Amino acid sequence: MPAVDGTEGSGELKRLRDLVGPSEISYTELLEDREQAVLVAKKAAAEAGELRGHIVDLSVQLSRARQDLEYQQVSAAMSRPARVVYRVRRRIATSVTPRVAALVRRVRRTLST
Amino acid sequence: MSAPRFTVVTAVYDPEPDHLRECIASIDAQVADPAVAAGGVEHVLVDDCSTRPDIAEILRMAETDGGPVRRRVVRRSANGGIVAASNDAVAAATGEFVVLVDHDDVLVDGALAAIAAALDADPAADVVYSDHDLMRPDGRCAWPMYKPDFSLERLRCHNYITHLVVARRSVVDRIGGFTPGTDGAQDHDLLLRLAEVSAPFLHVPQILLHWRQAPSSASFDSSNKPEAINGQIRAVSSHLDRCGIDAVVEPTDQPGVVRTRRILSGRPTVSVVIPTRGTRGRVWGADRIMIHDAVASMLGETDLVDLEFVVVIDEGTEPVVNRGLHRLAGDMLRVVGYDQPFNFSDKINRGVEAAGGEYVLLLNDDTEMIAPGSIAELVGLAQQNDVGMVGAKLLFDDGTLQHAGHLYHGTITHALLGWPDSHPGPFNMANVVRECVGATAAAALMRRDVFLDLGGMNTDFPANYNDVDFSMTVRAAGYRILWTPHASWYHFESRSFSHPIDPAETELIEARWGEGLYIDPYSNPNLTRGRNDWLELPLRSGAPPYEDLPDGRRSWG
Repeated sequence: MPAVDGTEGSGELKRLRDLVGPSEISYTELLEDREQAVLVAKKAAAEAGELRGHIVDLSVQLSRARQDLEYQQVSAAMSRPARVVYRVRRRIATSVTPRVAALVRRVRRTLST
Repeated sequence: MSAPRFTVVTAVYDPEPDHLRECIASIDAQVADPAVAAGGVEHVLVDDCSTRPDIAEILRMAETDGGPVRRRVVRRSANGGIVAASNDAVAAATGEFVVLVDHDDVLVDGALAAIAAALDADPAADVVYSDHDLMRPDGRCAWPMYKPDFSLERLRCHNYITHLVVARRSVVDRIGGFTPGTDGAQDHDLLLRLAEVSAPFLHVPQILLHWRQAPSSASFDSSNKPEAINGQIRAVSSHLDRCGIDAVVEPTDQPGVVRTRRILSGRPTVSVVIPTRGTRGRVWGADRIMIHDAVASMLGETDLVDLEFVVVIDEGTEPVVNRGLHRLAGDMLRVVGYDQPFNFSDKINRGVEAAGGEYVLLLNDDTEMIAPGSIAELVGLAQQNDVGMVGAKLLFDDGTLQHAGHLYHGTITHALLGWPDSHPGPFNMANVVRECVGATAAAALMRRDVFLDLGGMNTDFPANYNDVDFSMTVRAAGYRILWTPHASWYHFESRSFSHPIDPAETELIEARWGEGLYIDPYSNPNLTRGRNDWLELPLRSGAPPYEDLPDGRRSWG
């Protein structure tokens, strides 16, 4: 194989690189670029997630405010005796009934065992 | 119903006079209940050398008022702090149960009657606690704390119980009362020591006490009492020592919350069981073969544990999947072929059968470990004999919560689904290790012998509810299921993708577990069923109550 001097070698290297294009030297860089792009995408997704999470949090608070407001409006529109009846009925529906149901289930379980 | 004899114990040191009067009046009101009156109520107040003369006068009048509550005032000769005063109060008590009430707190009417009813239903209980709310400086009540049933692991992270606590006096005496030197964390220390001899505690899911917010009180701002966190660390460390748990307790950036890092016993072997069919996906804009990244993310976890990857691969999966796994995991890889129609439960069972580890980590292939040390964290918790399964924190690719433990309060779901990862959750529940009703099999660790003893996953649930059924089985066998925020994975499951659920699977899970399936002891009956966000039932959110004002106007507070 004929000897190639330094000038010729550099020229040949340049010629080959021009032929190959950017890929010859940029495979590692492409990998790095890809990693950077993933990190950027991940960060952007996290920022969007933070906002989504806050929306969920605010939705809970809004639900809480709405249901309390509804209750207050119903209360305000009622006469005092009607309000008492409403509260009693509500307490029965949301508190007493589930407990009685739980008790019945417990008794049934006990009897069945 | 019969009621035991109660002794309310109150250490007094310079409260606002009106607050003390209100506290005393609320205790007097308890005897309106005939059963409580018949059982008897005693109130022991220990004046820890209050400097305000009006306090002495209030105490003198309370002692001599001749009401149905037998009241005794013990006057200390020198100020000794909350622990010394509380111990004096307990020593002077004669009732069967002691009721811990601060000098500015207010018992709700009927509080002791509710406690008596709970004790009547469960006479063996030694300790009862209730829900509570905070009393704002303007006297209105807000911020109700609806607590779970007894959660030992959570108690090891923070005092989620606080008030109202009622304990059998003989048990309090047996453990020596409050521990000197724990001022500021004395209640937490007492509860941990009571738990060592009397767990589980009974929980009454009703607000029975209004905890007064005062500028100097822990209820107002825990960081007001910097000594409290050191006392809390000492209390939890001592408790873990007594329980034979080797752990380091550290402060966190959340006031009142500590973290316990378990020191692993020995060098455990963990088999990570991952069913896969080599699914490809696009995550953060880049394509990946899911299982390759899942495995790669855990390769550095071998500092404290020996790892093995048991991958159950469907027949017909691209060969590149297998080749990549061998290149990544080398000798740590064990491949199990699967040639049956899709059945997640069966694939997991076959993986666990082939596993050689003492522990098995069930893991979905579309995951990526986030926090280094996650596997060791799970193993550390699973090394307790009564722990059947430990779940991890799972995040969607956008960092929102996908899994913070199962929640079966009227429906089957994940607690706090979609909340921001940075959110502490209601009452810090996203920041602490705690018991939960179930854990997703997308990332759950357990002892292999427990899994096999329980018969593995039910293959009648090929796609859905297999982890729910397994969680119910684990708890029915008497084990606890824990969830930890300190072990975390991304789970690249689409937020919008709803799993097609075969109605037959829903019918089957309900038939297997009955109505008990939807009763979640780690939720609370005051919360709205069918939701995963801790929304309270109407008018139980602590919003100021509607009221008629004396001048005829109406107010919303």
